Amino acid sequence: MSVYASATVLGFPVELVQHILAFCHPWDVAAFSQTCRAAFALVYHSSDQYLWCQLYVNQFDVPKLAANPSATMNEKFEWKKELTSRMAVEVALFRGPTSETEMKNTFATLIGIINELSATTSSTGSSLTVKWLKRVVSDSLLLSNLYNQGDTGEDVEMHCQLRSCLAMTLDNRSDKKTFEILSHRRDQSRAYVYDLRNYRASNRWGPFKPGGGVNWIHVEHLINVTALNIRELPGSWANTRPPSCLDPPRFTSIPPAEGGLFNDWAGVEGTWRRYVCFMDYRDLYAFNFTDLADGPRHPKFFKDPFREATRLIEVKTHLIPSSRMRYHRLPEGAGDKTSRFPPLCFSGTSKGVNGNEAAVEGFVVMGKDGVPRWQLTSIYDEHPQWSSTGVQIGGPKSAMGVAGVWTTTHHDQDDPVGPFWLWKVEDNSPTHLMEFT
Amino acid sequence: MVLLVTSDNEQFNADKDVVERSVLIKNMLEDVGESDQPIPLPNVSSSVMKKVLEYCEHHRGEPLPSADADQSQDETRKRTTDISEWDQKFITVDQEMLFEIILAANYLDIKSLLDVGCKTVANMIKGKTPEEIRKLFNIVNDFTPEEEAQIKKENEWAEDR
Repeated sequence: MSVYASATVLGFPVELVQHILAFCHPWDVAAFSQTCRAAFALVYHSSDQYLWCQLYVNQFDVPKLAANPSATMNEKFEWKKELTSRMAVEVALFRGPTSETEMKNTFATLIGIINELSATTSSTGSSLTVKWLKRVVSDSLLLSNLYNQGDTGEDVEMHCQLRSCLAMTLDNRSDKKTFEILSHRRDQSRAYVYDLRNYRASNRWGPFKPGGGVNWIHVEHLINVTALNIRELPGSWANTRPPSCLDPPRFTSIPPAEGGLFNDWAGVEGTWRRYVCFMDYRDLYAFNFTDLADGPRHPKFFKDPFREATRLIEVKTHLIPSSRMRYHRLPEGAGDKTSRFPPLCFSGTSKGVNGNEAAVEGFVVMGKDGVPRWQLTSIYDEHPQWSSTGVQIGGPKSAMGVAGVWTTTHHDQDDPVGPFWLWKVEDNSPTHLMEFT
Repeated sequence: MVLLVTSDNEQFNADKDVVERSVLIKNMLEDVGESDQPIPLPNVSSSVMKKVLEYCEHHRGEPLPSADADQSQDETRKRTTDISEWDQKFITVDQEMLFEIILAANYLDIKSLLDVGCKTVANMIKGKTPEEIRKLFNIVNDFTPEEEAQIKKENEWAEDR
């Protein structure tokens, strides 16, 4: 066979060996590369990215950056680097991270992957990345690491961000022990969420740090309270909840409105559902300012028979020019109209179970950290009443929605506060709103 | 009918729609037009040709991948190493024949057969250590100690599983 005189490995031309390796798992390709010089060269020193691109798309969704016809060979995307860093994360998760740096990289990579989910294109409706994520999260040591960490140290924010994205979807068991763990977790989170000292001008009455960065500790507590309250709702309400990053991508990427006047990068326009939780004001006051239950502000306060109210409302929004906002002004330096993420202003309606329809108005601005910030005001008869501020978990257009805090527009010292969780639904979703105390 | 001549000068008669599963032969037939001229295949031996024709017979009539659809084919290609039952039986041959079939499928441009062969080799590699792979394919370890250190470093991402 003179044609194949230049054969390298196995008597095959390089392209053919790469074609074979493209059917292999990355682990097996790594093993193969260690057999001889020629094998090593064709895996690691190939003239193009073909092999690594194939290995990547076998395991993960094609990233949006490369999602155009000629882009499987997109030179800008570093297939090898991206794939091997994800594989290294998988290794670290299954055997347990060996160093603090590795742990940090692992969490950072996972958060990056979750944020990317809302930006991937999936024509089949199933997602390889979600499948991978689900497996490494459920089967590895991640969860025990994630939930058994002390809430100190510099990694804590990353833990909280990751837990926010998982949003309590993994503690599915209904045994007594799980119930106790979750109840305890919610009591701790309630003590944080309903602590009025956590709301002041310096954090803009929301889950933020004084410098303007997202306070993921706060976000996680908001989600814990809301998610666990939802679980206790009767009947089908318990399943009416925002998707987590592990849910199938039925809506993970909110489709852009066709031919709209605005670049709706956050997926603002449309129909939303919103859970709002609150304490009876007398309870809120007693919790914050009296010595009841070893108080003030002791988690014990929330033991039975304490009840919190949960309300599901519908919000409909459409984009408007900033000049038409009546109750808000865009914050200074909110980004200009020409940027990739120009500030988005919207108005709309909010409807509760009793039909108490309010007007809503607000805006979304992109943070320097890539996390969209939402600001929303509910207006009754021309009077602004409730002010809500939150962050879009999972990045722009993420279906995981917006978690945040509502309080009054006056921001007086003893004003009520509570968590909310807003997520997008299809426009024709059945309206079954409710209030549960 | 089409007449094929292999490297060892054996002649094979086969139906046009069978041999046209090979893009190479299909193009050749289009180039020469209607003729009784035998088609020489100097890169394929008769023993391999027999197997290739068996494969093409079995899969005759199935849709062929179109040339310009390569990209999307790759996208939707079943990413698993699943091989159908018949194909699996068909490809259960010794390693030498397996490799010959792959080379022939590559030369004749029969994508589905090439994939069956490549998936089979991929399955053989699965879960093996470098040493086991060397043994399997008679690969000689020709790394110098310095190179050993370098390959270890490059493969760090896959270590300690």
